[in-house]
Amino acid sequence: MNKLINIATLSLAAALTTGCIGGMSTTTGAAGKAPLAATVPADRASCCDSLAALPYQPLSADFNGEILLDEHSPVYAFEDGRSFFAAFQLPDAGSNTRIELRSLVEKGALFQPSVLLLDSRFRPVRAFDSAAFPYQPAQMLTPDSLYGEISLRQSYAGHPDNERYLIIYSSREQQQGETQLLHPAKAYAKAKGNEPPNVPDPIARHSAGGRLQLKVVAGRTQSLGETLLKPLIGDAPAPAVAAPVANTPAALSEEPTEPALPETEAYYRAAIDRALQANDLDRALRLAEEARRVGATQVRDYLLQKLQVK
Amino acid sequence: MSQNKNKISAAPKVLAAMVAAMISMPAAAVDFHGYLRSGIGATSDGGDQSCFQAAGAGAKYRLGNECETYAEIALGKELYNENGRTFYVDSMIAYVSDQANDWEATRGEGPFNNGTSSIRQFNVQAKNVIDGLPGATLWAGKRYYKRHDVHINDFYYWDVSGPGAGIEDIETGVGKLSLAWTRNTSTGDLTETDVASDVLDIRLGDIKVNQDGALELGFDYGSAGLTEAQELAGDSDEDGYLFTVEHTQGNWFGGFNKLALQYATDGMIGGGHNNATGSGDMFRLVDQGVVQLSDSIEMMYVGIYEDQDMDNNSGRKWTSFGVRPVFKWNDVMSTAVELGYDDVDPQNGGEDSQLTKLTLAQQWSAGTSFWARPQIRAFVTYAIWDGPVWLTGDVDAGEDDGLTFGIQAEAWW
Repeated sequence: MNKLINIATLSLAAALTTGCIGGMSTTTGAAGKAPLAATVPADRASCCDSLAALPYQPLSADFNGEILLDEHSPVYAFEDGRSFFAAFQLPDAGSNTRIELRSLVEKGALFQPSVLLLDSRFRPVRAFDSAAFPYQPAQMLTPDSLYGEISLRQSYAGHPDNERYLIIYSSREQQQGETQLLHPAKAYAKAKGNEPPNVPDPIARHSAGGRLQLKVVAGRTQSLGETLLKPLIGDAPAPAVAAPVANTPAALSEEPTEPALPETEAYYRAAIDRALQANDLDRALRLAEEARRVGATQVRDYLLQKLQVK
Repeated sequence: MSQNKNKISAAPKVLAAMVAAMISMPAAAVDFHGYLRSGIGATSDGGDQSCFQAAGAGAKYRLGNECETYAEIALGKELYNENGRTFYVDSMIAYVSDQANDWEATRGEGPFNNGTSSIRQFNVQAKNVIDGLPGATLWAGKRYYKRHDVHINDFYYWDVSGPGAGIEDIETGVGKLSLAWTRNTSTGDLTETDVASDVLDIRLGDIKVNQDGALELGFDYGSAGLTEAQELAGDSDEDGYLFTVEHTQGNWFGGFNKLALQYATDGMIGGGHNNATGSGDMFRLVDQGVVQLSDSIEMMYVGIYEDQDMDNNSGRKWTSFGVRPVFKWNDVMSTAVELGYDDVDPQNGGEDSQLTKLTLAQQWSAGTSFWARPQIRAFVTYAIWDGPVWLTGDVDAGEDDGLTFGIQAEAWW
């Protein structure tokens, strides 16, 4: 019985994967055609069992295109809510690669993105919430939008700790929120140095779907970094870590080099809350351990606290 | 290998810190604001584009009725931000020319060197630096100070801008109080020398009076500070008052409405600068707004009545109405019609001036809002008048109507 369900889920996931690819385009011609999905329909099942099973699409090092999240997009039950998502396998382009993400206001609605970055073993290593994508008033040819840039941590090509997967979704809380825009008459007044009219600003309600622009800005490849660091690190490491990750767990450094972002901590805490709710203590412990490995050091204490309260 | 790692650990940290510092700089980048209008036009009978304004009117309806190139380049930067205290430096240079030639130098001899540039803003705004006045901003320098305009006829009815200093946005519990001292210079009527004229500006704004409605009250006192020589020669030193009451209504048919009532005496007759020579009084009403008539039609409208009653009979009554509905075909194309009417009735019994201007423009802009810019517009303008008219360009002064066409770009950012 269980097997049957799994197979059904898998085929659904496969179907959704296709839908996801269909929903991504590098053209802007279709702007404004598809209606935004206000909420994730309750009958839409989660596409996958784990983050590792999401339908990741490879992203080229010079990708610059639109992502449409709508009712054809896959759904996943993230730790902080069910959401349509887009998942990408990032180019392993080396250091200095930057991701630019813009979510556009369309017809008074907006998809407020969260971003999750996973390493080569699908461990969430960094999480970004609304604070990373602040509001930008419409200017020149760009409409009202939320915009943020993320510099990827990719120490050198092939390193298993590199950030290799990117997931764009919207948390439950985000989907219920709204964003205050700048009234265009005020933007005019600001540009002209006039007193802006004292009128309320328009509000964009948040939506479960939306139109986003994603751009990968490849850094000057790692050759620069190599040139700088080669005298210090020598030639040795590259072949060792270039081997398939799953077969060389020892190659993964167990100690994080720097502390995780508060958003990443929050993501793990939400995950632990869910595990505890489901009485899955084993999962909660594993999450705490994983969090420690990616530098989210407070998460273990959080779990201990939760357990003490019980 | 781990040895190596330890050895290099300091270097990448320093590098990382340096890179982080460099990357964080664009976040606090320079704010670039500005404005431009420029284009090309012609008169149907041949020759350069003409622009039409009723003689004595305070403004003209601007769509398809602007004959010059005008631009403003503003650069600003927040230089300091600690514990909510901020220092902001702002600057703006303006440039205007006749739009007649490629080379229009701002100085020099020759027929086309008509360009003029102007230092319009250079100021520092310091917020939260006075402990007793949280939220208030102390400022000094040349500044566009809380200017109030009507967009479709470019009429600035309340504008005390100039070199100045002040404290703005002091929270009073009722509204926000702003105090400013600004300067303009008029010419002595006898000595024809510069007269330093000052304006003390006090406003109480953001007074919430109804749902989505706010009131602003303004009091301006203008005075002319004569030198001993000017006083001896007998130059006029009229001072004056300007009172302004303005109500702004948001959520007004999908847009907003602004109603301003003004009363001024003597030197302060006008828009906010003291002229030192005027003697009399003025009443003015300006009602303007932008409304959403349907999903695809937005319209700006304005009505102005101004009565200047001068002791030497140099005043006039000016009545003005204008509408600019814009129909949006899609995200980038719209059609605008602007109809404007001005009537000037001189106090000295001189001839009335009446001018009607109608413009049809096909517009391409980024976005659908009435305010969406940049915009490129192809226009045809017809103006018909009775009585004296202010003309530029190649329509003969003896005519009583004119037809022009052209293409103009307008942008603000």
